[in-house]
Formats: sequence, C-alpha cells, structure tokens
Amino acid sequence: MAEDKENNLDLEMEIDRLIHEPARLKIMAFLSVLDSADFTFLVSRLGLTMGNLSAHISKLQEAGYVEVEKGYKDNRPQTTIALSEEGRQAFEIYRDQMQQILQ
Amino acid sequence: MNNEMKLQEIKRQVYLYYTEDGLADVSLGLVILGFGLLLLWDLPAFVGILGLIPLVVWYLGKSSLVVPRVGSIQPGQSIKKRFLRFFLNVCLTGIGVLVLFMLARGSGESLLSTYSLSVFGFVLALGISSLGLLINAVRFYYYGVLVFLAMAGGDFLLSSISTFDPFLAGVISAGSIILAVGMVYLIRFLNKYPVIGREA
Repeated sequence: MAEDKENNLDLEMEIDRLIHEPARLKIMAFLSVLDSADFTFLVSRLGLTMGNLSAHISKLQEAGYVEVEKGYKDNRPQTTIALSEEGRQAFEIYRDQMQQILQ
Repeated sequence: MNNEMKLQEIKRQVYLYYTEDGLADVSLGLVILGFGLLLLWDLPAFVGILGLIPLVVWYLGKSSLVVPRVGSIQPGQSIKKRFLRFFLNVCLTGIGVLVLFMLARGSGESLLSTYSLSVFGFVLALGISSLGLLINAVRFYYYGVLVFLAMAGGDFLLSSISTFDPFLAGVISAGSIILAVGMVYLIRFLNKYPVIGREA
C-alpha cells in the first residue's frame, strides 16, 4: 500500500505539466477526438479569448504537440490546428498516468 | 473512468457541432414537407429532386451561417466510422424501402399492400431515428415517431375521412413541425453565437 502510494507520487512528478494546465488540457482533449479544428471552433467551445488561446497554442506548437496551418477559406483567414503524432502520444501517456493516479 | 467520462463529454460537444444549428432539422423538414407538397400538387416526378435539398441547405447553411460563428472541424477516426455506419444504414434503409414498395405493388391484396404506407413510414422512422442516434440528437427519435404516425394515418384514416387526404395532411404537418423546430434551433443558434472576428 505504501509502495503503491509512493509509485503514484512518482507518477505525479512525471506528469506533463504542459498538458496538465487546464486550458491546454482542454485543447489537447478536443484535438484528440478530431483530425483538426480551426481556431474559431476552439474559441467557441473553450470559452477562451483569442489572445489566450493563441498563447496556449503557441506553447503547444513549440513543444511539437500541435501543428498549425494558416490559410484562407471563402476569403476568410483560417488557422487549422491538429495534434501531431508526438502530441497524440503525449496525450495518451498523460491519460494513462492520470488514470493510474486516480485509481 | 473519470478521464473517459470527460472525453465522452468532449465527444458530445463535437456532436453538438452537427446538431446545435438546427440545419439537420431544417433539411429533414423541407424534404418531408416537399414530399407532401409535390404529391398534393400531383408532381411525383420531381420527388427525386428532394434529395438535393439537404445537400444545398447543409452546405450553404454551414458555410455562410455556422462556420463564421463556431468554425469548422475535421472529425477523428471514431466519429468518421460512426458516420460511415450511418450512411450504410441510410443506403440499406433506402434499398429496404424500395424492395418493400415493389413487393407491395406486386403482392395484390395482402397485408403489405393494405398497410404499405405504415410499413414505408416505419422504415423511414428507423432511418430518421438512426440519424438521431448518429448525431446524439434525441429529438430525431420524436421526428421518427411523427413521420411514422403521419404515414400510418394514411392507411388507417383514408377510408374514414372523405373530405381530405389524411396521408397528405399528416406528411405536410409532420414536415412543417420538423421545419419549424429546426428554424427555432437555428434562430437560437444565431443569437447564441455571434460572428467571431478575425483570428489572432
């Protein structure tokens, strides 16, 4: 029992802090069930301001977890965000770790 | 368990993208109403055009009303598989309807020919309900019941009412109700989500 507790605490130390932040966790969670989403969709679903969302996306992009593509659709600028393969793996690892901690 | 429940909630939010705007309801309502009106005006040859209505309404509605407000998404594999299963169901339903219709026509006096509208309505109701199951929209189950009752009314009331065709009345009423509900959802959606300005 004590050993389990110690192992769970060790897991907590390894948790990906980048994903663990609530707003970024929501971003990763949404993108995990989608192939991609545009910026407007994430703003409407997450309740973040554009600037706030942009800052979080930048952090995830720097870590290589998301891929950002800027373009135009129907003459409107469109930014499409998708999880990278590394991001999907990182999210799956994070999910497994949280499940172990919560058990 | 906690993580799975939250991901289920997120999937529910994703499915909401396909139902919140009411475009699916408007499309369905227009098709059923159009079907009734074409039969009322004795223009059955144009029934095939009804299939274009959902495509036009969906595409135009999404691009001009929905995307500027809530953006666009590309669903993931699990959602795509679910949609594929639905389209297969629709094709099977369509083939089933066609086979039943042909059987009913060729069977002479039989239960199938006597209650062909009810059978037709039941198959349509199944198709509409499976759409509700696909996009997690409970109201589509009620639409299925409404359509079934409208069609079945034609079988059971036709002989007892001589002043109007209960089948046509039922179909036009059902289509109008579904269209009206869809418009309510659409107006609520437009009020809830303003057009979002330029992306950061």
